[in-house]
Amino acid sequence: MLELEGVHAAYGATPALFGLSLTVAPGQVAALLGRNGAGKTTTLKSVVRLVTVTAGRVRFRGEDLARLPPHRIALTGIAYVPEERRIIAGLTVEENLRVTRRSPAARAAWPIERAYDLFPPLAGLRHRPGTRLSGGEQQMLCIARALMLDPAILLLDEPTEGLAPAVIEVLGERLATLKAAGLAILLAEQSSVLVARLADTAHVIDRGAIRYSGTLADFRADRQATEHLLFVG
Amino acid sequence: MLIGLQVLGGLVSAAILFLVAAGLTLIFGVCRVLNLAHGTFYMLGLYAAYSLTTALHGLPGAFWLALVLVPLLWAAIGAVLEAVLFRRLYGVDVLLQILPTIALVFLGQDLVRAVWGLTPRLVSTPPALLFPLHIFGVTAPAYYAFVVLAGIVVAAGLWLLIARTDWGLLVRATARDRVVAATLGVDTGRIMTSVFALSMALVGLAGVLFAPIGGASPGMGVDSTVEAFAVVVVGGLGSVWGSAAAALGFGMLKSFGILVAPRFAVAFVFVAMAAVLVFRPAGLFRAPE
Ligand SMILES: Nc1ncnc2c1ncn2[C@@H]1O[C@H](COP(=O)(O)OP(=O)(O)O)[C@@H](O)[C@H]1O
Ligand SMILES: [Mg+2]
Repeated sequence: MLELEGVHAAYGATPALFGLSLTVAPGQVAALLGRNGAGKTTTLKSVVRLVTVTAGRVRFRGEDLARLPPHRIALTGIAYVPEERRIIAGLTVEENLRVTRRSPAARAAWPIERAYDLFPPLAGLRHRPGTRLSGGEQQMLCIARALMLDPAILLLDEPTEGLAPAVIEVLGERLATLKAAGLAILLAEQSSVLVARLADTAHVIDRGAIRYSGTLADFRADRQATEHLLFVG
Repeated sequence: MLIGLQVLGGLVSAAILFLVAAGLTLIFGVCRVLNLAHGTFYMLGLYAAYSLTTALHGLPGAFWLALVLVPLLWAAIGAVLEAVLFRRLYGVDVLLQILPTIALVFLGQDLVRAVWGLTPRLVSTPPALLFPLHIFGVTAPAYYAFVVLAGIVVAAGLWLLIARTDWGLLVRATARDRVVAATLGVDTGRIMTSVFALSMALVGLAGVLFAPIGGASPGMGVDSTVEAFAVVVVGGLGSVWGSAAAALGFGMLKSFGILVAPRFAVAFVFVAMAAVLVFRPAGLFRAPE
């Protein structure tokens, strides 16, 4: 469904991806693993065009995304949840959810109440400034906000970073529900908790290219082959 | 009696200052560009009102037509200007950003010199508002009260638009985080174009409203930018409500300053600006981030 093929990407004159290839199948969760600076964030950004793709192709449901600006890419069904929980300051929780421009179909599929059903803690906070939530609540809000697009795939950038185990547990459970409902996820992570729970495939990235790709089972069996690229627990 | 007159004069100044400053602060807040030509468009708005009302001489509704047409025209010019010029300046080094807007200032001044010359041009007060009004214990032209009322109505409308409509929500989101807004499907380019158009409509409206009071003269574009900039800085860059409060303060300060020291009335405004910035560097209404 989402295919990156030989993608090169650069920040200005500084290249960061070197011929990266990766595929996410419909309804599947692909884990993108790698240490700090390996290129996980850049990979997600190359899909939503927040970084310049200098060569290679990104296709979504067969459509080449090269010509589309970020807001049009969002409307094709790709929702991006950036790292560090970028809540829009000055907006309440509910306003953060309402920012999304979306099709009537997305409106019908994801009325705001459905976001509150998915993450009940948000319901009581709907009029609170989004930046005045706990880390876990902010992450829930970021994911809920992305879901307002009624996406076919969710690009999650280190969603568990800095969160308490209990919160990660809740997030994992909710993401599993969404996956069961057919949502595909490209999950960039350094920790293995969510990966173990959700992933179907694992892809190890280092210095801007994929160094290992396989099913989660293979990845576990081959763990020794990738250990030196990860240094994670 | 005297005080009443100064209060009314201060409110008129405040209304005009607000309309100019609101556009400047909106453009800065959403597009992150300091448009030094903003006051130039205020000046051109006055001249446009002059030319339109003179051209329609015999018509009693000429002023009202200008009051509607000039802001609409200014909005259209704003949209085009954003698309062909300002869009290229976003995210560019500040100096490079400011240079083209200074070029617009000179272009505007040359245009005024070529078309209207150096003679100040006054627009006559619409006949319907020529009657004297008894207010604040003084008798003043009803037109003054109309300008104040227009300022209040526009401020309230702007508040509704920004705080209560979907468009306003997208504007606030774009102002705070353009990248995240775009990834949520918001066409931030179009939002910025429309903010520019709105800001230009406001400054055009300010020009027409002030035309029967002060008239148009060649140097007023730069003066207006400088004053509006002071208002915007004191109010907090990007804060429309801060600008409203600062415009009110500045309007009054100018009006009463003239009583105390006529030659330094404008200087009071800048002394006040310096004083505010010493205690609140981010302005009155912007939480330091
Ligand atoms: N905005 C940027 N400008 C320049 N270089 C960047 C920028 N962001 C990331 N990089 C570089 O790109 C490489 C990949 O970074 P990133 O994709 O953020 O890695 P990860 O998300 O895996 O930690 C790193 O070498 C990093 O220094
Ligand atoms: Mg990263």
